[in-house]
Amino acid sequence: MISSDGIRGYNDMIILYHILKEPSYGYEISRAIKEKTDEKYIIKETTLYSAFTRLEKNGYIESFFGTETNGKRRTYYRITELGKSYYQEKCSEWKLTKEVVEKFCEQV
Amino acid sequence: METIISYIDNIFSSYPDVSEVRKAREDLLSIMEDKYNELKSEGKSENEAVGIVISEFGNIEEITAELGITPLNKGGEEEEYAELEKEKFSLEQARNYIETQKSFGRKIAIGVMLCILSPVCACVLDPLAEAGFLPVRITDTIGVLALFGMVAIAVAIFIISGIANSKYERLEKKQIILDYGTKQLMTEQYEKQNRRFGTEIAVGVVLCIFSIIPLNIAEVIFEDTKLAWVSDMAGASLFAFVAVAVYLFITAGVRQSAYEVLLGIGEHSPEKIMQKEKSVLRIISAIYWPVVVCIYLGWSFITMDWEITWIIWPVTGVLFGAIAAVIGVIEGMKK
Repeated sequence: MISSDGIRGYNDMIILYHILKEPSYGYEISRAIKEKTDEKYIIKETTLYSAFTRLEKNGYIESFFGTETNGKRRTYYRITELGKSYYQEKCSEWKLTKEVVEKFCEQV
Repeated sequence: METIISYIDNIFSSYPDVSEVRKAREDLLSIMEDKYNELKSEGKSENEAVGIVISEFGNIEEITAELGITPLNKGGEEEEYAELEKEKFSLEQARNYIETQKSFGRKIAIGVMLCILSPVCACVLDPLAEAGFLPVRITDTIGVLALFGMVAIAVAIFIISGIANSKYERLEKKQIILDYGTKQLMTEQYEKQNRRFGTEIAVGVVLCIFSIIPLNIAEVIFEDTKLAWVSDMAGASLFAFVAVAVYLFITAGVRQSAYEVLLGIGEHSPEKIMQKEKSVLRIISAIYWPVVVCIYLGWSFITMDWEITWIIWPVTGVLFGAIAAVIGVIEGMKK
């Protein structure tokens, strides 16, 4: 399990990644994160939802109501152009962060 | 799923009913429902599924901070008891408190058991001496040594565990504040424990009633035989039964009251604490009992009628009950 403090700055990026290609909804994103990280990172519902709120407020995503085949109405999220460039920005920021932190990490 | 809905409702009940909050509630519930359904379809039991969903919920303040919404000041509970000192307890502290109280209860119970069992050695040895198996000198010495030894150990246990527990005693006058999850968990544990409490008390009472049986049976069988000393020894079993019963009463009682302190219910509800703090009864009982002891000792030593003077205890005991009832009525009328 990963510490929520360590990953905090990158939750936005992780969520945006899952809607880069097509819109998605809360649980699908949460499950995708869990699967992709082999259950090493399980995002809390409140973390997920507060990220949606923040991203929407900043214009990085848009929400709309969608209905799946089983008839359940859900809030879907779609990435905006602004969101895509924000994602890119966070991505390069992470690469730099990783490069820097990596230099100070060794086996003792 | 009902548990999850009521969990969410409870969390949101302390926030104003505005559209953002309503939407957050709806969206969160939808995510949780999806997760719950998937867990169920994976073959998880209702309890497991609910447990996982709630444990992965997170912290509501994360969202309300983002929305810029502050909790309603519910007024009621918090302010009414503003004069009571408060102490915040985390889940770990709460668990810790319960555990230390349980072990405190066990220690006290063992001490009391030792006190009750202290005459047993003499009870067993005396008949042996009377029957001529052992010299009286030896049985008397061992009996007395065992009696004082066990009482001494018990007193040591009382003092040591009493001092160790004194830091928790102040909690009984405070209102303990638990966060929502901790409160739910502790309430659940309390309810389970409540059932156990009933069973333990019942078993204890049954033991007390049965304590006389071995003695009776032994008397019937061995009376007027050469083995009459066996029935004398059977008297010792009475102490053993009562000791086990008292152990159950004390451990169950201490555990019960630990939960009540933590959850602020029963004898430890804020109302009761305040009543106790203010009550005249506290002052009266602080004077009453020492005076009774003085009268008892004075009367007994002057007249040396110890066989009569014990009557003071039931009389003053009942009288105190009457005084308490009268004060309770008067205080009730004032309100």
